[in-house]
Amino acid sequence: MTTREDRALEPPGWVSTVFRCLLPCDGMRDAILGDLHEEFTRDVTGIGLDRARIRYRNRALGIFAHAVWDSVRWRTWASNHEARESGYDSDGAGAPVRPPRGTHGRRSIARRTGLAGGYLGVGIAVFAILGVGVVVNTSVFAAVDGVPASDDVPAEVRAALTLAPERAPAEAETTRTAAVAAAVVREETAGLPLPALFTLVALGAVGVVVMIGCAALAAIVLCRAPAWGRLRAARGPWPVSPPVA
Amino acid sequence: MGRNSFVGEFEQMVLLALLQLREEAYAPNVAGHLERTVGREVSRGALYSCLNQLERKGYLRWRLDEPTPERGGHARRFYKVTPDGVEALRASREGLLTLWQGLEGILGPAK
Repeated sequence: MTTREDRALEPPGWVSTVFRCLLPCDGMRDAILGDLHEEFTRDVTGIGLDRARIRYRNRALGIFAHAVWDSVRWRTWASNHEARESGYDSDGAGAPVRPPRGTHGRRSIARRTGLAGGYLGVGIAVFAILGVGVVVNTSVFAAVDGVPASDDVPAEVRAALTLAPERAPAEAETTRTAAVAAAVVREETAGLPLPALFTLVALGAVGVVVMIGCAALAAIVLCRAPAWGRLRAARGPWPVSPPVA
Repeated sequence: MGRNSFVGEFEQMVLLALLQLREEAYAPNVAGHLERTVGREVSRGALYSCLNQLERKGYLRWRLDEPTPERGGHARRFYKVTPDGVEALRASREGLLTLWQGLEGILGPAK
């Protein structure tokens, strides 16, 4: 049974969760997690737990960014060989799972993945997910912006904001207008009851969270789409990583 | 020699590090070796992307070792350069040596 101290010495758990969502079920994913863990253990003794955690997180984010970028360019990190590869002494043994190099044209990618429309279908799905996020985010902030403000704007402030059309505003007048406008904003937010203010902030946070969630989902679709396509083409399970003892 | 035989600068460095590390050629060791010998900080994401690309080109193969508790129960991947990878390194070296010829007056002698 792991003690509280033992758990504190382990790397952050969210990294393995993110990689399990992003990277194909493959020996490479297992190896990456193991390499990060090994370097984390080394860093804890060398530079301390806090700095080791920061370095672990930064390395993981760098790996995540490269994996997503490679997926955009249709270069997934799924291995070229069977996941149960054992021994490399006999070079050339074992048939590769994917076609040999030199055939990575767009048509071959579409055929290999078995996706309807190939890369075009996945691209549409990704843009649709991001579009949903943008629409929801915009709607939330439009609702926030539409909350009626206090009507108690002093008459002299309202008059100062109204410029006579025959007068071009001088620089001093523009500065005074900006100062008055700032005072109006303070007046408007000060007039709101506290629960309404919290509601506005919460709605804004929801919009941001929805946008981030849609971006993460789009990244997962980009990274996993070729593996899903192979599953569909093969009509069978993807080779699983060797069981961990 | 085919069009895909030449390797990029970082790919060359990774392949050479794998050859130098021999039986201990796995990703963290490769990164540490490059950082010590070349003085270049190696991004782990760039390293894994490069290893994946080299495998797709057929320049290296890998094998899985037994999982260990030190690695959180995950297996380790050891890499080995294939004959195609060695041939690609030779081609790149010959090309670069040809280009470097006659430039000692500008660049000075090699250390």
